[in-house]
Amino acid sequence: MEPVLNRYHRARARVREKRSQWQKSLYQAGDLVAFMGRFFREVWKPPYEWREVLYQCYLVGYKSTFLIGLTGFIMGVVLTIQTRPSMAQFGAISMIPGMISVSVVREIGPVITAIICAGKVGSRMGAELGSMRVTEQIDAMEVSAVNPYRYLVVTRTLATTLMVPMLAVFADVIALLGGYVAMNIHDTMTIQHFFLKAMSHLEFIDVFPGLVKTFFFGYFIGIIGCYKGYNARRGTESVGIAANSAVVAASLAVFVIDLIAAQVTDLL
Amino acid sequence: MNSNMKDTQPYQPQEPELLREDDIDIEPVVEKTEEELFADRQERQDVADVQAESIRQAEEESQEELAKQGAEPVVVIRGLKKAFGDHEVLRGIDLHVNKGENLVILGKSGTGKSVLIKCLVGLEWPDEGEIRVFGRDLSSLRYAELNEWRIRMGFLFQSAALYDSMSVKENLLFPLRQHKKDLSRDKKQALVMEMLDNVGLTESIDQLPSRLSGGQSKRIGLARTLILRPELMLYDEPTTGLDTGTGKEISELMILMKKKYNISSITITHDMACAKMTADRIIMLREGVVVAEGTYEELKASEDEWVQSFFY
Repeated sequence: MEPVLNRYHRARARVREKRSQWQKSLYQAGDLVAFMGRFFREVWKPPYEWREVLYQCYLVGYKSTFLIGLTGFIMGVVLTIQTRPSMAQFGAISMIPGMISVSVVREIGPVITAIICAGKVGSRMGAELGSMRVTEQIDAMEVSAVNPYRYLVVTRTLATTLMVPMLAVFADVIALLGGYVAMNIHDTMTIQHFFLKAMSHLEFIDVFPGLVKTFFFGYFIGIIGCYKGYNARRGTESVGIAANSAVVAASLAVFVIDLIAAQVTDLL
Repeated sequence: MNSNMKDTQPYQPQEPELLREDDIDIEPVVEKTEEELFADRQERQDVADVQAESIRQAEEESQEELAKQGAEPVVVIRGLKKAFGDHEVLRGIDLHVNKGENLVILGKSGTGKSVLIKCLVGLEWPDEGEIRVFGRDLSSLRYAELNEWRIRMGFLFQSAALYDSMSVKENLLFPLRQHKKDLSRDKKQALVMEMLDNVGLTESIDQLPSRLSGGQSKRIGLARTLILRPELMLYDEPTTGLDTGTGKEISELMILMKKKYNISSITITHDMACAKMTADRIIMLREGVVVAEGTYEELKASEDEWVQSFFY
């Protein structure tokens, strides 16, 4: 009987030989789907690499907090400053905290966080795994009977899936804080009053979809970064290509998911 | 200062002495057509096939003899073929490795040596043929079973392939953490120290791989591979890129480890000094087939011009 791995590798090699661009694109799309599907098969299987997951969570989460926090703060400030004149025209300045909270929690916080993570984390994963592929470290793992997919891809994807939502929540809070600071440039409002107003406008339909889509953002950022690096070709140039294409593809994926999420939320 | 300036003549480049066309004794490069290149390759393959035929028969007889004696070799390869697109890299390899033996595979670059040992650990999959390692056909193994087999094999990569985000100690602990979970922390530490002592690099325990020289990386790579006590070692160009002295040290280390742990091994190389020191038997690959086999001395005494080209 022909072994499963053998058949898979032969099919993979056959398709790779095809020359035309559309065939390559179709192959890549199929390969990515298979790669993504493999995550759900492997994630349940022991041994569980908790140590590596925690380390990746530290890299993805803790190491990104300053950048996400700073961006979130600026986001809140800019949003408040730019909306204030329009709101003032309608005498609705007291509505600013509510407007900011809804736009930040529903859309801006999750998307900006995901885009920053796509750039920072996606490129790191693409370059790291690409470099490991080029220097035969992934092969070394494979021959030492360690499943490199489980050790490298599952742990990293799990880390982004868990950390991006946490970072998004963090970005939301800091953005509101930025909004409060900007609000006090022209007007006077206590922090309690600002947050009370902000929270009173938030409903379940604002918070829940905004949070759920960040899990998808995290998963796609991780899996795309890993896919690009894991499948890098030989040669140092491919490391740069892997990092670059990981950022581009992950950023694109974030916007596509956001579009789908907006449509789904609209239906609810 | 002025006098110095007066004495200094402005630099005038001399006209280089040009060679005349008659002085150049180089044949003009004639670009060959695709058909001509294909014909050349075919011709080389035909020559190799003729040389390979007698070796193949001898290998078959040898394998039959071993089977009669009931002595199962550690590795048996029959009719192994592997192609990448139209390019046939391996065109029917037959070989065996006995227990405790070091088989050296010699051949020029691009003859499929690395592909051959990658097929042995499942990094590449053959198109045809059979690979039996420790008595089991590799192609019949599922992924989990293949991993059990892989633990019994060690692979030293040409680049050593150390995990560059981990220190030397973590590199050595990594396989233990994965496969020897029942071992206590102290026992693992002791094993790491023993292996580093074997390769003479205990002082590098906390260094990162980027801090190590080529020879040190190879030693650590060897220590990491041997920490699981494999029964079969596969060395991919262990001395390539190293100076003669360091290459010799690595070869000596290979011999030492073989004696200490009774390991069978396959070494891919084109370093004749390494082959001379470590080989119990040598096979030579040409155009994807085995064209010569014997001990170092036997092959050195060969009258075949191609075989001789490796020795002189």
